[in-house]
Amino acid sequence: MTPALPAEWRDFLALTKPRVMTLVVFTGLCGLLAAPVHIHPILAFTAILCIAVGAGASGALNMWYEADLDARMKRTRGRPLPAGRMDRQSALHFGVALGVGSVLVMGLAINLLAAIILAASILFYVLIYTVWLKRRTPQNIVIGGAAGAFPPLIGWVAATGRIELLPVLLFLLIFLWTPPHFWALSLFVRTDYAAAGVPMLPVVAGIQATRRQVMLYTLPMAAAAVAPWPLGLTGAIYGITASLLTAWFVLLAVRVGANREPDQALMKPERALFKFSILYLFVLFGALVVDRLALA
Amino acid sequence: MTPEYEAEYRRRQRARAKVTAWILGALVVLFFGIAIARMM
Repeated sequence: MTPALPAEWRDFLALTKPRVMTLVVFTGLCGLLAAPVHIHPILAFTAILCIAVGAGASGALNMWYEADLDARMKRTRGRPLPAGRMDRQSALHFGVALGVGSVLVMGLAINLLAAIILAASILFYVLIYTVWLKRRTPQNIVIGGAAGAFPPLIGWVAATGRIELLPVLLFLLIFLWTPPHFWALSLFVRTDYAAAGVPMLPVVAGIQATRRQVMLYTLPMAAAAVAPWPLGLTGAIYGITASLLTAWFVLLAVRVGANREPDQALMKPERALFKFSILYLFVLFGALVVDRLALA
Repeated sequence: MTPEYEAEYRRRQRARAKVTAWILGALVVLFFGIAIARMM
């Protein structure tokens, strides 16, 4: 019998969702740089590497569990497992090895609290979001969004060893940013989710209800984004940037809320909000670092 | 197993072994760096 071809190393890399990892690394790095203490560059690099590898582990375990779902969606059917380029067991072993390795190194080289939060974020994403919520409730990404909100908190804790108000607000910001970001996307790819049987909000509650939810979640997100300035945790560089960008975000969300277009190919406000939401987070966190370095 | 299949099999094995070796090498350097940084 002919043995199956071993998976290419590039497919293992694809399991880690490198594009998602970019945002994770960036927000984790910003959390670390915004902390008011000095950390040795090698330890800082190690902490960010652990956050990145931990995120890679979450991605790999997510793909391991969702191979059947990915095969039914246009956007994901080219991934290594649904495309048949890798067996499920390899993905599972790879994900577990990355997860355990990243938490161990974080605990041994950086500090225990950062390792515990990293482990919690991986378990939260895999068990709470992927296994439990995603296929059961349209609120899946609201709670699942917490998993993506951990990196700046981990970065901060890696540097300081403590949990403080600013990283908690950064956690809240990403947590509340996730619903409008993902629901904007899910509005214009909803047929894909419907075909896969994923109970995303537009599939279950309808387009207009989702548009209202996008607007509703944008308001507490805006409060969390601007709050560090009046609370005296950041200076004017962050405060002004956050106020302007958040005002634009709210405007785009209102446009989504006011849109009545049912054809997903013509959903311009939703596409605009989705694209801007990514830029928003990058610029906001960049401004935070510049502000904190300027204050220091 | 055809010769083409076997060649592809070996190529993938070699490529994976090479990447694994690089990662292990990088980890050795990283752990050495961590040890030094923690002593400072």
